[in-house]
Amino acid sequence: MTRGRLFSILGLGLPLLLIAPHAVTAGTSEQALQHSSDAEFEIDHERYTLDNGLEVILHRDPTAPLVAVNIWYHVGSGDEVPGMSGFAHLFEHMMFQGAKHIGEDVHFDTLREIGATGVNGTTNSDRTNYFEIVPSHEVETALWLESDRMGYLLALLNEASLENQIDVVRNERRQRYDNVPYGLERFAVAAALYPEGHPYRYLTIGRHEDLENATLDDVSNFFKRWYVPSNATLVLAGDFEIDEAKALVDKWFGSFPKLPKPAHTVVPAPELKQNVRTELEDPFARLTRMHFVWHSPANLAEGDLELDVAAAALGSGGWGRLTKRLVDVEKIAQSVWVYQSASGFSGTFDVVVTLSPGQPDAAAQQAAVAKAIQEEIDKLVAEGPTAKELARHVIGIEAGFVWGLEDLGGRANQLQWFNHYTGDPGYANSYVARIRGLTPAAVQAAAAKWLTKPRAEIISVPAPADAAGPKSGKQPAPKGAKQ
Amino acid sequence: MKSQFTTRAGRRLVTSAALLMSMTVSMSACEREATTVDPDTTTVDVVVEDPAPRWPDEPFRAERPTPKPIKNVTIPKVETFELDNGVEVFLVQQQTLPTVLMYMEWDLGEVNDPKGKAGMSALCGSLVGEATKNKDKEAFAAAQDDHAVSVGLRAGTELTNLSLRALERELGPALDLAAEMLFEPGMRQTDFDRLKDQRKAWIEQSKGSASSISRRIFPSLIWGSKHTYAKIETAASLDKVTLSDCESWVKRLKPDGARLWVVGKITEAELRTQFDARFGNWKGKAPKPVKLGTPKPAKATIFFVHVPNSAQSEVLIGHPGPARDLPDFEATQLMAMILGGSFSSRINMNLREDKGWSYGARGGFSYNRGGSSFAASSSVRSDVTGPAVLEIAKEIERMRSAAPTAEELRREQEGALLAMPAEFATATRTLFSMRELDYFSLPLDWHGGHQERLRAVDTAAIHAAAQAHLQASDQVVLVVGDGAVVLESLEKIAEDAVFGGGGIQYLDSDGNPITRPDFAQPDPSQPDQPDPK
Repeated sequence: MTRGRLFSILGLGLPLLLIAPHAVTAGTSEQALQHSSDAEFEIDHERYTLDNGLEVILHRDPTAPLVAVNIWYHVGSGDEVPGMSGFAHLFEHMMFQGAKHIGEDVHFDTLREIGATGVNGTTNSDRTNYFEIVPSHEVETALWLESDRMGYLLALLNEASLENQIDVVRNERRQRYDNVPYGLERFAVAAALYPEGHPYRYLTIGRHEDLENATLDDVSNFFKRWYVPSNATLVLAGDFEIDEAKALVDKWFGSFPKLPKPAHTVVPAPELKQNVRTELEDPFARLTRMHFVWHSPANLAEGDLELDVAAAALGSGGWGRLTKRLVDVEKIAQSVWVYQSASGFSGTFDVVVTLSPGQPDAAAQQAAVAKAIQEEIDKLVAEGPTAKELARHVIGIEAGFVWGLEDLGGRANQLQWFNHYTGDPGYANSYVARIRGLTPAAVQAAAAKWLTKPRAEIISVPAPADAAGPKSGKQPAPKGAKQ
Repeated sequence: MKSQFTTRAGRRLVTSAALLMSMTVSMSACEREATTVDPDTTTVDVVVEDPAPRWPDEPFRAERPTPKPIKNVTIPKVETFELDNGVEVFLVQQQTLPTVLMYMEWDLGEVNDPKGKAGMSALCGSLVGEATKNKDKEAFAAAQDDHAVSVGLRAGTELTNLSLRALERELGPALDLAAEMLFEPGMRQTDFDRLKDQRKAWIEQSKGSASSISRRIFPSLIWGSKHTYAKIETAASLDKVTLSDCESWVKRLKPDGARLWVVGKITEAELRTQFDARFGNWKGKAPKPVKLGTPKPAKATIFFVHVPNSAQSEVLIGHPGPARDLPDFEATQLMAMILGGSFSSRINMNLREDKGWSYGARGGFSYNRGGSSFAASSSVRSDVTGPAVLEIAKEIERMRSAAPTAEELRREQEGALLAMPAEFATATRTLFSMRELDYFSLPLDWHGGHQERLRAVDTAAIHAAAQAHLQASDQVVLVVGDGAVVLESLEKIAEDAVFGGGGIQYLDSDGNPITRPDFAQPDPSQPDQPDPK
């Protein structure tokens, strides 16, 4: 006892808000998570579909008096058409601006007042999601808010609100892309991989000029086409009775009309005919970064999980082959980052190396890094990963699943993720079975298939340190910035 | 495309249109009498001609639903006990997931770094976590990944933590590795040199962009450059650190006075057995918390760092704040939420939702053992930097000058009370919550009283907290952005002495005072750079 503590055993039966105990102690939630042993990873759930096509997935866990409400609309920036880059995400912002019955600008206020946490929405190339965790006695208020913007968003749509959110989203782009190191690189990677007209070309955030040109008609048309009940999946996870939840979902969403489920246009990744190389001066980076990137399989497609193993073999801290060689042995890199990043249409396999500063010959350093990348990939293509490397990856994925089960919001999102990409919210066990079934030969074959093709090489070098020279790194972004 | 949509929608409308008609029968009886069209025909017309799908309009949608009775929450049990060697254990058991998470925590951190050696503890901590005598970096990382466990050591501002994360079945191997790391750390000169070079490179990198510069130097302005919270790690300060400094540093990690935080599927008895087997012979006194000085902020001054071509400016306004254990903590908390803490806060609604100058703006107090600092901040479009500084100042002043509305109070008060269960939603979150209380030497049953004090706050209390804890003048203002675009308006604000009469001080990216840089004006004839091809 070193700091004068007055207690030795503290049994905090501390009542919060009301009195009767709802002890979160041993056993109370075993029912909900009984499958999370080593062999079974599935999250208990029930899925059903309303007459109007809205998919509903319920996962009951009364451990804490909370409900995670999580809606995925199956539309993302991958569904955008040329000239409207960034629109799916801009639209996501509009979904927080108000709707007919709830009123304008009340979404966050209302959720704050009822003690909601983790309130947000996100957009990627494949889907747009909206989520909040609410105290379970207020779940109906969350359904009121979510159903109103699904059904009645356009009633309060107005020019001032759209103008404002265009500004906000352009500020978001400035903050997260235009004003940070290697922001330019992200656009350059996409520009090298995807031709004009491909929806991945301008990233989910989009181009300033496209955002600026968005109109109320665009918002209205996008809403009517994509935000229909049949194109959405609602997950409720947490403390409720199943029958009660079904009745509430039916009350708030059941009378919505049945509208056609919109079809997606699949845009496969083009092939690179030859290696392409882009060098750019980064105004905010002080370290050179080399980003090599290949087209790769779509999410969960053949080769996707295999290339995850390839990425681990190359880029894991300490034992990853490329990391060890460049960071720890040759000491010419600060960091090495290798990942397979898969989206709905296709994926990318990325090797990102931040170079160590202060090397006498920058060109030689870059050549040495490029040589190391090529040699380590060649070796992986020729020999595959070792059984040990593969085993580390498999156990790591399994453990990651178990760790991901504690958080309610994480479980809700996991159900959505599997449902979106496989049509089966309970795909977890199949997923783990696929991971366990991987072999060094399969990884080798995937590496041989994908990593021997032409690649893009994006090299970001620090703009010359000339503090007074606007020429040194003319801002590419604020074209049309509002003055 | 539009007509296609019309056709599809129109064809599917029979059911819902009919429903609508039946619902509106009683209400539109008069109108129907006035019409010359047969009602049946009208129905058919609607289906054929109206392109819009019919959405129901039940009356219940107009009202926010009535909540059910509130549910009770009991915070998960925290067991505390002491090991023979003086380690104080805090354990939150859970039986649902086969996981164990641990933090061993010492009162040792950046605040202990000797003068001129800022960054020493962080560097030494990363060195200890890198490798052991018997396992080099590669072998140590592989040993962890072979069991899907992670062990590590990290030194922060005031605390150093040994962390361990393992599935229950892998706890043995994880504890073996943790003990090996602590008792036989690698301490290789080559690792030390490499880690030092890497830290120096990241410091260099952080001088390149506005947000990283502002994060790095703002604390030194708020606390005053001599304060223990104000140390800025530089290449020069790292160069003074030697391997032998780290060898001495790791020897200070002793058990008596260390805290062990554990959450997972493990009992006290199991924990004692597992620990004694590996840490039983470990003895000695852990470091005591250091004394922290009083803040001496740089006053009445706008500080400016030039980053050419910034698309946005980082804007921060701040000053030292109250201690964590003052009786008006709850009123201060709600006041800060209204001012800048939640999405609905005044600063965010003003700069983001009203002006459209920012992606987000916030303000609030961040507490440490040695006190707190207040900061209101945002990344704002470069051309509105000066006006944004003034708007933030205006919101701070508005908070001080009058009580908030009853609506603002209700939103944040109810919100804070009702959000409390989320803080204890999982065993892990409970543990983190308790750890924070312990850090501030607050009792672990603090939330009971907190709840009552939150309920008691009224608008007058919030107004009083604003007047007590928000400074009306002599704030520290830091702007990092493109001088060619923003300086004119900032110099005007300094001239007008909006924040006091200290004028404007130009800093380099390490926070050192410099003379006014000579800025090239932006060249309007310069075309925008095309997207890289």
